[in-house]
Amino acid sequence: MRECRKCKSNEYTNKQLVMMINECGHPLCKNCVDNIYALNSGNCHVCNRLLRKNGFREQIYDDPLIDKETFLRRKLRKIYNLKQDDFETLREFGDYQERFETLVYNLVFETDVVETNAEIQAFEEKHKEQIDRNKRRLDEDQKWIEDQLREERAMKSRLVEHMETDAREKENTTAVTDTRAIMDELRDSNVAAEVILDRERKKQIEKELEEKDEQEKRKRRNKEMLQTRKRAAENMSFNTVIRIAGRAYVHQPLELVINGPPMPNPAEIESMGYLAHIRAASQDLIAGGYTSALGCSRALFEARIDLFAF
Amino acid sequence: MSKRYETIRHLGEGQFANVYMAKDLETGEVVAIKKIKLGSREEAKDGINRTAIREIKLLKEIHHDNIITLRDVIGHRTSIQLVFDFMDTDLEHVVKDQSIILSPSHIKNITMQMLLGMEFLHTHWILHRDLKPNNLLLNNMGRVKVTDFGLARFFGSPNRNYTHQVVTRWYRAPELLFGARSYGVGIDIWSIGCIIAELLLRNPIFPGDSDIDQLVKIFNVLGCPTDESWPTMKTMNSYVNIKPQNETPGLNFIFSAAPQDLIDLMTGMWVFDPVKRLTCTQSLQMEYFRAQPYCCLDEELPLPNKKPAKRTRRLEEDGSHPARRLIFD
Repeated sequence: MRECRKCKSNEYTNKQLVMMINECGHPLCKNCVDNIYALNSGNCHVCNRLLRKNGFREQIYDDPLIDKETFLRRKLRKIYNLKQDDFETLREFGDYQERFETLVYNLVFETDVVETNAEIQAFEEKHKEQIDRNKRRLDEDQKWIEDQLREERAMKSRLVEHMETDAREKENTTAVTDTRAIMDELRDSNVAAEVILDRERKKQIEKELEEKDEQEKRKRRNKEMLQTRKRAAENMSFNTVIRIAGRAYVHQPLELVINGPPMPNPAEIESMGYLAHIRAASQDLIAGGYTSALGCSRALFEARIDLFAF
Repeated sequence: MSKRYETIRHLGEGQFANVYMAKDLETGEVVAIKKIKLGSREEAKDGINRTAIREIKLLKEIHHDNIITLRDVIGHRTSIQLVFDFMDTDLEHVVKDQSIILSPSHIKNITMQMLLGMEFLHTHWILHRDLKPNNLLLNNMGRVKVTDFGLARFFGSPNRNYTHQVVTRWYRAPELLFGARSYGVGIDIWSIGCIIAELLLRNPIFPGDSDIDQLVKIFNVLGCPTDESWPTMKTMNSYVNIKPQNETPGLNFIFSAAPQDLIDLMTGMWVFDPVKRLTCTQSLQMEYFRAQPYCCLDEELPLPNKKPAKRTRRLEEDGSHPARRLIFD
């Protein structure tokens, strides 16, 4: 569960808990950030590094290290933005990317920070021109992503349009007899009122009859569908396992194909001393439903299969 | 889309994917294609969605009648499309369609198919972790298939910690609500119990609107766990003591039309102590499946008549996106 290390509030005590994280990778809840960094900068409560308030972002991953890494990666990418065509050979480009990964790793795990930063600075100065130029260029992948996003949006708008036209058509066909038109006609025309009303009533009755017909047809269709489904099911090839309908079902536990000696059953696991080789489950593990017999039988199971990769 | 499949129409949109109905031009069969969404540019930068990876990793390995078959994976640069069997509807639509009458033998059939699929998963050490009616699909042959393996993973490893923020809340087992970091098949069994109850009631049985409320809803029906019934419960991370209510109505009162053997099955699936809860195999061996009324033929299962209304992205009342809410709740 997420919990703020500073104020100890967690998801239970604060439903709206939002965890924030800065470049050093020590999470704080939003309230604490607002309090501690009210003056826009302050020291980290864990590592004492000087931090700015606007450097805080919402924590996305459970593991703060990942947040820290994505942050650093984004930051470094602004400097290390050379593209493949900036290099003469693919090999050089590969080396450059590998070096980049090393630098990220160093910064994330805080090994040789001083040297790493010095190297980054040196790189920035050396390639200043290229970096500036590349700021406005997208590489192949980014272009492709933009393309895809555009396509997705276009697809969505097409769908919406399609649904709207559908709805409009439906409205047009099912519109009930327009009462206003009848009223207008009654007022304006010279034909006797009864004639007009008769005509409209007739129309209505016809419509109702049509609907009834339609309903019956639908019923018949449903019945036919059920029959064809039944027939199809009889001929289905994958229906080899005949589900036991219409009689008592006696279940046999699933037999697994394993490439080793037979698995001991739960009673044997306990009585034959298998459990001596596995760490005993603590109380809180048992509370969640994990027992040492469970871990033991999974280990035994894994030992008996070769190709089923875990 | 790839050359082999021809899109017929858009079926729906989930959190992470768009689903299309398509035709397999090689075999002429209708399939469902799940196209993993790219989302925003920011998300795309950090690589592909891990739920997609989980789904592919697990489904590639398992083949069972009651588990959705992953027919194909189409990878095109960074877009991923998963090709599944086409299924006509899901249990959520069946439950919600008031014109459908579920007879006891229908329910027995659905329960059995569900349990057979889950037994297969559990014997292969896979937890589904997101069972709900929505994730149980039904095709027009009356075959029930478990789907959505975005949260599924292997279990039974002693040194791993697992997150307790899994399973849609209404179907979440009490040990997860108490913050257990290690769990077994019990969490899936609990969800199955809730689904059976939902088939009977046509409404979710424990519709809690917060984690605490969820516990209260459960305890109001089943009573509070005691030191005897669940001796280890106080060791859990976020155990909270909830005052027992004086009277619980009892399952017999809530499911007044259900036979005793079905009540027994549900009681077994809702035992508080996950160690003592039924397993899939034990459930299938219960009296319920041996007693009358026997379960019906698969193809006799009812299907919703209406085409399910096209589901657009459901926004919450305050207009926020459901995914966002889930994460920061």
